[in-house]
Amino acid sequence: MESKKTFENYSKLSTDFEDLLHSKNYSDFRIIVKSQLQETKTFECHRAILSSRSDYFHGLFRSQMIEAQTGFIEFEDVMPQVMENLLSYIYSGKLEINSENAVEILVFSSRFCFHDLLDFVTDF
Amino acid sequence: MSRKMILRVPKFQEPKRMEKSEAQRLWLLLKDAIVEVQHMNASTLSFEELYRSSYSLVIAKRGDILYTGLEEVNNHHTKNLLDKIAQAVDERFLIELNSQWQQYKLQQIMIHDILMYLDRMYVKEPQLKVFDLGMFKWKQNVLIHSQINDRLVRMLLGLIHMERNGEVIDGALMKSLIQMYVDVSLKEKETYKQEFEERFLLATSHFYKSESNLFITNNSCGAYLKKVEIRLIEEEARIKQYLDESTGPKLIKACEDELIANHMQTMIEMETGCRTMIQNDRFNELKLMYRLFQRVENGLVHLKNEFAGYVRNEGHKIVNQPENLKDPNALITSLIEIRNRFEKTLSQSFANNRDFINSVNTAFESFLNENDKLSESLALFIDKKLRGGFKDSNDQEIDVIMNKVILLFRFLSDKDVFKKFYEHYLAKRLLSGRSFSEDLERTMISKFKQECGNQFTSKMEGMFTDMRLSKDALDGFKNYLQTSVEMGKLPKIDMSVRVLTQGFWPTFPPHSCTLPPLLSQYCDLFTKYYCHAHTGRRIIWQTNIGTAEVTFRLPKKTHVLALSTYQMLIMLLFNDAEKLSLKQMAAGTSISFMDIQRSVKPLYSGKYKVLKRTPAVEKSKELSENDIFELNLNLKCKLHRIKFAATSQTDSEPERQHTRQRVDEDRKIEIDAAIVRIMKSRKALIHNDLIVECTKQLSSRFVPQTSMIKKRIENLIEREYLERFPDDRRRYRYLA
Repeated sequence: MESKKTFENYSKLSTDFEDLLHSKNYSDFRIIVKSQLQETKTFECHRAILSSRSDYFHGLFRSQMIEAQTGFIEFEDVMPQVMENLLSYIYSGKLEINSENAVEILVFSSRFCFHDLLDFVTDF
Repeated sequence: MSRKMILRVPKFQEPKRMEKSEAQRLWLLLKDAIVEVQHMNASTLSFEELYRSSYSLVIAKRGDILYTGLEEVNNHHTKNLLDKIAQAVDERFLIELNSQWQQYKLQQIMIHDILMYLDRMYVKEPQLKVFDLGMFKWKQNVLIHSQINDRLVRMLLGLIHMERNGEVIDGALMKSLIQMYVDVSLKEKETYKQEFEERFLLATSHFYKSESNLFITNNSCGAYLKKVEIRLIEEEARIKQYLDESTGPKLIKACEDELIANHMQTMIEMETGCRTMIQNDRFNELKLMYRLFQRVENGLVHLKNEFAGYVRNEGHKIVNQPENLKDPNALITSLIEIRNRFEKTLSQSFANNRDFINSVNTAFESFLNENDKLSESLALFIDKKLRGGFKDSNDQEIDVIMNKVILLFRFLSDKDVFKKFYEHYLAKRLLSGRSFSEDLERTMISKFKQECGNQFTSKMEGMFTDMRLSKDALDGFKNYLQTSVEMGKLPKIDMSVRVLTQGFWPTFPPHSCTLPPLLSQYCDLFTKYYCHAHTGRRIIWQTNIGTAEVTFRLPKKTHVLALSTYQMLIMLLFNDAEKLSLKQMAAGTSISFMDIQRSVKPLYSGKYKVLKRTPAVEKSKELSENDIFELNLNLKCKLHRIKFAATSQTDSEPERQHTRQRVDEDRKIEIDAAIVRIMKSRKALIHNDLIVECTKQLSSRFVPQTSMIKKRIENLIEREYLERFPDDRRRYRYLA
C-alpha cells in the first residue's frame, strides 16, 4: 500500500493572511471608514481575497459598479473597530468576540451576509 | 459556549420606525437603478448605496415593497423584450433572442447581488428567489410565449436536421439557446423537458426511422453497421456540444431503437447480413454487429441464437457426412477444425462472451451426441496419433491437439463408452508394441485424469504397471530357464509373455486355438514359474492378440515373417501339407472360421503374397470354407523381414459390439451403485425423484436410459436391497 499523508498547517495560513491585511502589499482596493467619533480609517485590501471570502464583495466586484471602477468604498455607518474585526475575519478566518463587540459584530455580519459568523455570534 | 449572555437592547437592533415616504424614496432609488441595469448602464451606480437601501428596507420590514416592485419591473421589462425579439426576422431571430437572453441573465445576476439581503433575509418559500423570479418572468413573458416558443423549437430542430445532413451550424448559439430552456426551469429541468426535449427526441426518431429504412435497403449490412456506428458517435458528440447531459441516455436510446432494434431481424437475415458474415468469417463486421447489438435489449440473444444455430448446423453436417462416418480421423480433424474456427469467431468478434461460449458448447454437445460414432472415432483418432507419435507436431502443437481432444471429450454424454474404446485401443497399442512413446501416452492419460478424476484412468494406469511388471517377470523367467533341468530337453525358442491383470485390461472376446506342442510346453513352463513366484494367481492364456516371427525358407532365399499368433499357426500347418482348404486350416488350429478368414487375407492379398489361392480367383471374391491355398514359392521380395497386418486396423463389427456390450454391463453396475447410494442416504424416495437423482449422479459419465434404471430398480427389489411401500407403490424404501 502506498502511504499518503497530507500536511496541514492552517494556523500559519491564517497568520500569514492576517499579516497581508496589515502589510498593504499588492493591495488593489481600499476600504475607507468614516466616523464621527473616531478618526477615518483606511484599509488597504485585496479584491481576490475579499471576493472569495465574502458574498457581498463578490457581488460588488462582479457588478462592475462605481466602487469596482474607482477602487475604493466608503462607509459612514460602520465603526472602524468593527470593520477591522470583520476584515480580520475575512483574511484570517479568526475573530475574537467579547461582550464589547458582540452586538456590533452581530449587526454587521448580518448586513454583509456572513452567515457562519452570524450563527456563531447569535449563539454567543 | 454554554454560557449565554443577556444582551442589553442595542441601539442598532431595534430598527428605527421608517416613514412611508422614506421607504418610497428608497424603493424609487432602487427601481431607477434596476432600470439602469436593465439598460446596461450600471457603471455609474454605487453598489454599496443600493445594497444599503435594500438592507434598510428589509430591516424596516418593508421588503414587500421591494419584492413586489421588483416583480413588476421585471414583468414590464420582459414584455418589452418580447416585442423587440419577436420582430426579428429569419436568422436574426435566434441571434437577437440569444443576445437579449445573455444580457438579461447578466442583469439578473447583478440585481441579485444588489438585493442579496432581500434574497437571504426576506424571501421565503413559496416566493421565488430573486434570480429565479427573473428567470420565471423571462420564461413566462418571452420563452413560452406563443410568438417565441414554437418558432424557436422549429428553428432549433431545423438546424439539428441540417447538421445531421452534413451542414455546419453554430454550435455555441445552439448551446446557449438550448441551455436557456434548462436555466428557466425551476425544478428538474421541467421547461427543458416539456418544451424542447420531447419534441427533439420525436424528431430524432423520425429522422432515423426514414434514414435507416432507406439506407439498409440500398446498402450491404456491413456498410449499414458502419453507418450506424458513425451516427451514434455523432449523436454522442451532439450531447456534449449543445444538449443538456440529461438528454444523453434518452437520445442514444431513441437512436438505438431506430437504427438497431428495429432492424435486427433484417440485419440477421439479409443477404449480406449476419449469416453470411458468420459463414465467411467476417470477424470485423461481426465484431461491430456484436458491439451494436449489445446496446439494445435482447440484441445479443438474437445474435447468439443465430450463431449457435449455425454452429449446430455445421456440426450436424460434419458428423453426418458419409466420408466422415467411414474415416474417424477425418471426422475428428474436421471437428477440431470447426472448433478452432468458432473459437476464433468467439474471441475476435464476440469478446468471448460467456453466453455465446455456452451456447456454442451446447450446440457441440447436441451434434456430437447425435450418433454414437463419436466416442469410438475420438478414441481411434487418438490411437492413430499415439501410434504415429503425432507426426510433424512439436510439443506445443501436441499439447494443443490433446487439449482439443479433451474439449470434444467433455461434450460427450456417454463418457463411459469412450473410456471403454480408449482402453481397448490403448491395450492394443501396448500389446502390439505400437505405442510411439510412453511419455505421450501418459500425458494424454493425465489430461483425462485432470478432467474426470482418478477413477477414470486407474485401469489405464494399471495397464502401464502391468507392462513394467511383465518385463521383470519375463527377465526372471529367462534366468529360470537357464537353471531349469527341463531346459536341456527342449529346443530353444524366444518366447515373450505379458502378464495382464484381469480387470485392468479389456477382456478380449474369448478365442481358442491349439498351439504347437513346443509352444505349449513353454507356456506350461512359464505358468509353473509364474505361479510359483506369485502364489494364488492364475494364468489364462490369451493367444489371439499375440505376435510371432517365423522363418520362411524359399529355394533361393530366406525371409522372416512377422505374423500374428494365428497366422503363425496357419503357416506352420504348411510344414506338413502342400495345399490346405480354409476348413482344414480351421480344423488344424481350432481357430474360428471367421478368424481364419481375417488372418489369411493379408497373407495372400497384400503386397507380398506368401500364400496363393488355387486355382487363382479374383481377389475381391469372398472366401469360402473350401477355398484352397498353397505356399507361394515364387515370392519376390527384396526385404528380409516382411511384416503382415494381423487384421484390419479398425475393429470388426463383432468386436465393436462386444465393447458395447461390456459398456452396458458396466452401466448396470454403475446404476445399481448409484441407486443404492442414493437410497442409503435418503431411506425412502418417490420413483420419479429416484430417477432424477440417479440420472444427475451419473451424468458425468453417461446418460442412463430411464428404462434401464427402471429395470435396475426391479432387480434391486428382487435382490432385496429395496422394497415398495405397501400403501404407495410408487415409493421405495431402502432395506439395510
